[in-house]
Amino acid sequence: MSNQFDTIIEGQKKAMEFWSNLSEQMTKAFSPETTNGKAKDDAQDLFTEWFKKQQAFFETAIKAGQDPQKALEEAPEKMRQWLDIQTEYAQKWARFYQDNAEKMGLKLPEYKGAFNPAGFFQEGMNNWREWLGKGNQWMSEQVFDKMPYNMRPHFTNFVESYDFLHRYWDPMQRLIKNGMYNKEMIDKYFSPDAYQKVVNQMMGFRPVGNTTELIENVNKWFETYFSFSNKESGDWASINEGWKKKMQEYMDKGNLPFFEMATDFNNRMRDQLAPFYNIMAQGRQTEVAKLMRDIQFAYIAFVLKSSELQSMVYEAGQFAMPDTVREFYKKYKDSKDMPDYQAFFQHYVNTLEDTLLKVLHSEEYSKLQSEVAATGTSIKSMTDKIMELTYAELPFLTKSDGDDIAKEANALRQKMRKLEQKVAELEKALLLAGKPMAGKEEVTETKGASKKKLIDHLGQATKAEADDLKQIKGIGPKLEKMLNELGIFSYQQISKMTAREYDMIDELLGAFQGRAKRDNWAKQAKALL
Amino acid sequence: MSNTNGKFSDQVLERVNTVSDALRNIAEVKDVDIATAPRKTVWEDGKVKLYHFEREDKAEAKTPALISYALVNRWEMMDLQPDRSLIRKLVSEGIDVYLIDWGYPTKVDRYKTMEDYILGNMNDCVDFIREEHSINKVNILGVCQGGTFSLIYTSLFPEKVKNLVTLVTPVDFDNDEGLLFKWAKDMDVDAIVDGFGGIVPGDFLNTGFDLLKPMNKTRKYMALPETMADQGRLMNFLRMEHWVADSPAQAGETYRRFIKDMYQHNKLINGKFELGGRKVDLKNIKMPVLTIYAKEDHIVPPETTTPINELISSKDKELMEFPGGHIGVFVGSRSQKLLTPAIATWLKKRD
Repeated sequence: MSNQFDTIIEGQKKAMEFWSNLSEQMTKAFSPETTNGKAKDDAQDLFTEWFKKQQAFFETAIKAGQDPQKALEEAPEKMRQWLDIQTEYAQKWARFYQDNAEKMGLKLPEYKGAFNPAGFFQEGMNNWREWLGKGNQWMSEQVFDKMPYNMRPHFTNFVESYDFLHRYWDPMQRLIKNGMYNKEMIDKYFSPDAYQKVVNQMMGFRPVGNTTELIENVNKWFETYFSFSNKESGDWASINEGWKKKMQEYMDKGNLPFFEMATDFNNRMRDQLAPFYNIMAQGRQTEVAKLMRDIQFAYIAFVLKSSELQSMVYEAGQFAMPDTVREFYKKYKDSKDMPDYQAFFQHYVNTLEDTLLKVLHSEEYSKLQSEVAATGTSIKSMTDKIMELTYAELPFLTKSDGDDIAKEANALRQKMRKLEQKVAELEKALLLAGKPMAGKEEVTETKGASKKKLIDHLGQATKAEADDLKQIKGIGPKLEKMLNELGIFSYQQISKMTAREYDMIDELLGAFQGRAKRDNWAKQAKALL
Repeated sequence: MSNTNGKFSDQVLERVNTVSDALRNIAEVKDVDIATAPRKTVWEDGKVKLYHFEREDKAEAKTPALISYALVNRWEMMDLQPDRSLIRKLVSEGIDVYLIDWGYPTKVDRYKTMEDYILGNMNDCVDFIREEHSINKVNILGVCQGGTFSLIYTSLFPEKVKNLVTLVTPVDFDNDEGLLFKWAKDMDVDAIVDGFGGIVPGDFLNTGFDLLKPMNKTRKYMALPETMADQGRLMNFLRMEHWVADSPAQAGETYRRFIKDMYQHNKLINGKFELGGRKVDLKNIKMPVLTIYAKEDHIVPPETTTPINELISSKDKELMEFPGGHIGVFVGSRSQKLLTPAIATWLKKRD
């Protein structure tokens, strides 16, 4: 799983790099160094200028519209003015584009003969699309395709659904503006399929795409299964009869929810097939076959249960959009202002969340979610088992071997902790009994004696006479401190050391066994004198 | 373009400007840095590390505080950005701070138990600090699930704990308001732990957290252009995204036990919880205890936290309400200005 995280980070890093390169390229195109401080302003001025002219034109046009006779007379002239504005803008834009396109990594189209605005835009647009397409392709290959399975749909869904929500907006504007609030319109634009799509994608998970399609597929699957077993003779036929009878019972009950029925069928079928497999279940291959059958049934159960889960969510969420439309319609039908896009979607998202939360809080949802999770993970576990059976003869450590090792490691960890605890308890008990710990006093006494013997041989020295003992290979700051504590400060003292003193030092210090001898301190110290 | 009142054109221009600002800002992002408070690893055992946060001056309080964060998600939330860092603030308020980093469990940790975490790692860390500072008792600051661990630890080793602070820590798991509490009761945790092969992936937990507020992702992404257009907000957003995505897997046995004994059977509060064969009795907690809960917490609702005061024997005990959500406790500006200084003051008074 940590690999998945790495993959995401890797993907995001690449996406970041892509964006940063892209935007650097774009900003560079407009930066003062490349354009002598002109282009960026030019582009904005160009756009603003065009917009203002456009706005002014329409304002006069509408005023003129108050007098229909006059407006009709002036129409051709107005039309010519409007076209002029467009052509002027197109030409200015073309010049700007010619000056800057290459800097942005766009291909500059070649012009033959006179300037043709229509052709120019067509080509420019194609160019732009190609460029965007390449970007998308890159994103897809470098980011989305490298994402682990469970994260990928989330991101792609989001992009899709954002796009989808935008497409909602257009009819919405028309609806509100024209006051065409009626059922047909709503049904047309806000179909259950549309909800399914939005909710599905926004929830960030998607076990199934389309419930209706799924139900049809499952039905088909059952039909095939029935017809297959019908062809078989003997026991199969009686089982088949049993299923049919059971199904009839369900149908007679009338309003039984589809998912419940199908799940029950699925479970019955699995149970009834079990005896056949159990009779044969010997040897690895049969076990693999049995597991595959279990996976098959578990998978159907998983799909059915997750569809049921999703259906609960759809049902709850389906009124969020019509309710939002109704509210905005009421608010804006007499107003000249357009409703704010952001406010509209915020309202929609909040309404949707409120209704979803009601479902998420329900007992049914919680139980179903648990079943879905358990079924899903059991499928994974069975797949692992198949892998293990398949490779049982090969010299790999399998999942179960790993399991054994992990178990053993943990048993050792616990044993060690118990021992540590026991030692601590014993120490405490000894202390409480007023006795010294494990002959501590005795040791100190012997240490005192050896220390005296050592200094007797090496000679006394004081801190004031201290040499830098760290100059001797093998002596670090910690060891130097320990030697000082023993009363050893000078090269003179160390130079007198023999095998006997080395052993005494080893004994006194406990740590650094054999180091003094190995590095021949005495010889080193003599050299330093 | 047929709209003539000019409002739509303004919206378009505004949008274009926002997006270009956003692009410029994102181009300048080189690195998303979190957890920048200087620290040293002073002890480690396998994947678990003990950090000591560095300081220039001598700590005002002589008793250091050990932070025990949850196993779910990462402790970096407590030092997400320099000006919103619970850890930095505690350090600057004169508290010597240690923190246990539980690491990222992998398959080999599938049998790592709550005993290993609490009697092993946590106890080892406490002992290390006691020895390092030549003191008998340390302060413990437990966060969320790490707070539950701290309560268990303190019940078993009261002689090693001077003061206990718990932040947004669940203790009474019998709750129907919190979705996690509701779902965990129905959860077939055996099937899940076994199915995942003994190690529960972080993504699995994240799906659950996402569902607690199902449309939050949508809101977040819808506001993305505006967020990105503001450099400060962009960096905050990226830091938070980084943290959210960074969720370690859970050691299966510990996860199984926590769900069963806490969420499903509420054993801690009923006095039925045992660790390493020792009964965990919250009545053993007699030292000063400060309990902090967040009023709007949808992950650990206040009702799951507040009963703690009726279960411990401490005479010096205090409930502190933080006006905000689970995450606000760590990164909210009110946390920085009021909550963390209040914790430091509380600790210093009882040093």
